[in-house]
Amino acid sequence: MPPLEVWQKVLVKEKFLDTDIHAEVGCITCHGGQPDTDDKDNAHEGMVKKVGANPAQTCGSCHVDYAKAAQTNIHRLQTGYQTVLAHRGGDFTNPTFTTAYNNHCTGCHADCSDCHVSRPTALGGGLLSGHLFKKTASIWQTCGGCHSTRIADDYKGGHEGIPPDVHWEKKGMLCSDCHDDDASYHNGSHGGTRYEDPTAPTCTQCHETVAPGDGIEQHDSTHLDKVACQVCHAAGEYKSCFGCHTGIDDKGIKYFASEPSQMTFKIGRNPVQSERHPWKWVLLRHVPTNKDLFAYYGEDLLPDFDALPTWKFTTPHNMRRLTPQNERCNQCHGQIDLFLTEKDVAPDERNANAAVIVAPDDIPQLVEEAGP
Amino acid sequence: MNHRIPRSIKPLLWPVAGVACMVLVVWIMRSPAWATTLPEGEGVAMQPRSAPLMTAMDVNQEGGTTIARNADQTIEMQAAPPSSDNCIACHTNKQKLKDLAEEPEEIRSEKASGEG
Repeated sequence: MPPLEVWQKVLVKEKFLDTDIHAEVGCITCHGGQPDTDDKDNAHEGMVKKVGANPAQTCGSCHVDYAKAAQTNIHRLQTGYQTVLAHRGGDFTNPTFTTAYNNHCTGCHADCSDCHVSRPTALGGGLLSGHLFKKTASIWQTCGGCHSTRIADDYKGGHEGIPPDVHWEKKGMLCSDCHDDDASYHNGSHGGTRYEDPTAPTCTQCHETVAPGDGIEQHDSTHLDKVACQVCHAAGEYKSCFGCHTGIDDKGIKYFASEPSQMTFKIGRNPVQSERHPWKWVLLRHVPTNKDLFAYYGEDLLPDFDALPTWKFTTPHNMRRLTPQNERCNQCHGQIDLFLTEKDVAPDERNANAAVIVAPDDIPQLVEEAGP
Repeated sequence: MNHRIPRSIKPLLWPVAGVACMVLVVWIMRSPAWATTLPEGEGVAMQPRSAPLMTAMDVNQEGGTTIARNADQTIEMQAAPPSSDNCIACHTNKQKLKDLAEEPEEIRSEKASGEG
């Protein structure tokens, strides 16, 4: 999605002024600035662009509970990033580490206005719709603006040869139709990553009749207990990223550079087995992190890098009822290329991924199939 | 001089005397003006709606860092918001915004590559 022109980013619609209750408080109440001048520079003196960054003093003066809850929101505080980096040995009391983190990771921070008023920084920022407040975030411009190639493109069929998710194609479902848990958007008291959110959506929340004996042969207890839904129902490959490095160039501009992404489909052992994720077999996606992620800033800033796999539990958003791997038993059974084996993992990442790599002998063997 | 009370008024004397006594008692027992409390909501300070008192949060504009501090227990009533006429006059004028727009400095490094 191309960025807006500079003037487009700040053009306020008359409709906002006429119909939106938020216009009633006036611009300066939230944004600050100087009221008694029409000179651009003078008028903008002391002005705050992103007022949602401090919800207690702006949004929170009316939306008290939301502002209070936002204090621990996962989108706002990026507890997922912090959790996994700390697990890999990242020391958030080390100024060198926190400089690297602040320079390259906090750009993904999102506050109230990033969902309800503005386009995210990843899309170049600017107002979503002339300052009109959107109760439900725009699926493509806000949710999909950040969760783009790894979620939005999966969902709308943006990867060549891979059909869109049936929930979008047939039902037109928006992100919030499934992700209706308040924890994701307004409070994050669960801490940790999104997969640790006890209120996160599950397939069986809607598909509640899925159970052994539901008339679908593969829905026996062996498969339902051991295999995550996505293993059978992901429509095909999804994007994996590799080799992200960060730094500051000669002009002082912060940057990251990553290796070309790849479309992958890999079944592996479940690295987050729990009551919520009980399966043995899940889909895995390679994330861009690597041992030298922050090497520009110092040596060994992630000393326990191998504590977590780089092929991580994933839930691709390209679900279909019928997929190539569930067409017949032996489209999955015995198909070694579908499984993450040692040869798929870079040698310097094999320790980190030991828990998810599948030994060839453990791959479900071919079975005798009825029919042609 | 004969001060006889007319016969028709006599039955009303005792009820009138009773009411007068009650008014007197109430007047004597009432609080003095300096001790009278204003009804809720009419003071110079008021609670922010019915929600629990909140804790203030500060986040720097770069995002990330949060500093928590205790909020005051009351919110002073605000004066009328400052005029936004100048802001609105400019930010609803497409041509003026185009004329005043300044292209931001290059923020993408030549070394940057790959997908975020």
